[in-house]
Amino acid sequence: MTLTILEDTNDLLFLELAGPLDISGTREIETRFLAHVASATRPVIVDLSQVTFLASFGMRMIFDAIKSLDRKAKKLVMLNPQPAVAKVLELGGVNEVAVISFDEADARAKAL
Amino acid sequence: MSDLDDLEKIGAAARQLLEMIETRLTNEHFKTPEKYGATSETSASLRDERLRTAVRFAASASELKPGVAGRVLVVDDQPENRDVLVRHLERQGHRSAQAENGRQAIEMLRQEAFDLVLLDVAMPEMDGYTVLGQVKADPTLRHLPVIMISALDEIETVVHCIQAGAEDFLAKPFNPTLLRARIGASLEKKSFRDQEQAYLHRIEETQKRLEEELSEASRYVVSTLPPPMREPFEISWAYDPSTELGGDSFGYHWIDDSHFAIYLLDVCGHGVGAALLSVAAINVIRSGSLPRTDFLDPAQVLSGLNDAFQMENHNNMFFTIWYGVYDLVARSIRHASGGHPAALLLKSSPDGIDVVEHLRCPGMLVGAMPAISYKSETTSVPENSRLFVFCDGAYEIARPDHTRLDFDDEFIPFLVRNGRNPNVPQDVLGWVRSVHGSDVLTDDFSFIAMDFPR
Repeated sequence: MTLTILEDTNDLLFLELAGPLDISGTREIETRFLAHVASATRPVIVDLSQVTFLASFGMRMIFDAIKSLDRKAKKLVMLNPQPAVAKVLELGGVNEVAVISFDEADARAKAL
Repeated sequence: MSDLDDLEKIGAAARQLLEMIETRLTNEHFKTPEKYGATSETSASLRDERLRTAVRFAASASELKPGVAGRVLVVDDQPENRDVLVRHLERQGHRSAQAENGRQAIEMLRQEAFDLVLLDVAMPEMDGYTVLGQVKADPTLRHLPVIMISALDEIETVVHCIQAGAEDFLAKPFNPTLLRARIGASLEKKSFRDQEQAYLHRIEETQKRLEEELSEASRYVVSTLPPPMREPFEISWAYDPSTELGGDSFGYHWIDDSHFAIYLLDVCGHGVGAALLSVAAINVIRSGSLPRTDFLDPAQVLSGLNDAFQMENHNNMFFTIWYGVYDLVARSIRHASGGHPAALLLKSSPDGIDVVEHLRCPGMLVGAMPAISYKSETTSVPENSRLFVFCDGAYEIARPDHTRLDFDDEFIPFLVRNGRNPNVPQDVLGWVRSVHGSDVLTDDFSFIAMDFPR
């Protein structure tokens, strides 16, 4: 599991996750991911296109991120999840409290 | 400890005496007759030096802290050798016992506890090499250090003894410094080994106790699951936690004469923490103890659970749940989901082919976010239908080649084909195990099948 910073400006933090967000994959990046999100005072976009699997531990990490940003009135936008991952996000109700987008321009617009 | 106290007193007195010699005594105090062939000056100087040396030795000897004290078995057929060794040992603060031959030594070692054996190589009846072999072959004695005692011309035998597991050797006649050093080193090693064994024993005891407690907790979790049912519905299930304690739980019970609740929840993760939350939540549902909640309304139940089990207050854990209420009169199920996979209703289509209907009414994971509203939906239940309620561990199955079972293309068709089998929960469990390539799944497995009356 890898975490890459694609863009880090005053207006936006753009991260990319790659690999399976199962128990071990989540453990590998959870602390760094949440630290980036917790220190962010701007919206965050997470590119999920390379995430191959999303289990409950990964969902917990995503909800922690949503709540962390929610406290600062900032948004988390999830970009381009694969169909199986999108299905899990929808099943868990993530779409009710965060934005899921399949277009980068749309994601950037909705993040701000 | 009294020997040690005496030794320290002697040492202190010796140091005081040395100080007096160095400050107050001069050559003039030693007037030696010249008949001994020395001048009075050289003779006095020699005496002075010898005295200084003797006292320094006494002082330094007392500063050599005795190491680990132990109980030592001295094995030698020569009484005078045994006496010398015993005197040395007792002077160094050790306790000792004596054996005059190998056979007696083995008997004593099996009856009493020792920390070290000083073993003569050459003895009648049973020699030291044979005794060493028996000690090292005995699991209860093999860790006991053995120092071989030998004459200088027995070095070949000593080499064999070292190869056979002897700790060290001492040559006769004994050098007190070597004797002290080797006994000290052997006892220290033995002491470390004993401590290590004690720690290991404590770890094993703790592990055993934890395993017993886990087994007891596991039995408790299973005891909270309802027994299979025959009338008026036939309900069967399969439950297979991936560790000793799982995060899944489920239940069913009558709410009133015409409403029957069925529910399955899945706490994120598994293990003790997940099991505790799982049982706590299932007991709340079973006992109907959520405030201001109508348990006939699944949406209210999920909202109440979400308020009661916010993850910040429950070790950062949430759970998913499917909750349905079957209305016996209306022949329908009212259901809601908190992040849980849809239940499936197997029913016959008008042309007689079995199809599945997804009882899907998506809602957020329970405990993830505060103040969440859920919604319920109602689904009609035709005659001869079968309801399947299960967790994601029933279908999120990885194959040995790391590809995953496909829900739509594999799991659903399997249920359509085999859903009428009398014990479909066990059939599904056996099938996913074969897909996984192992009987040990990576997530908890729970699957309930419920038949509705005609």
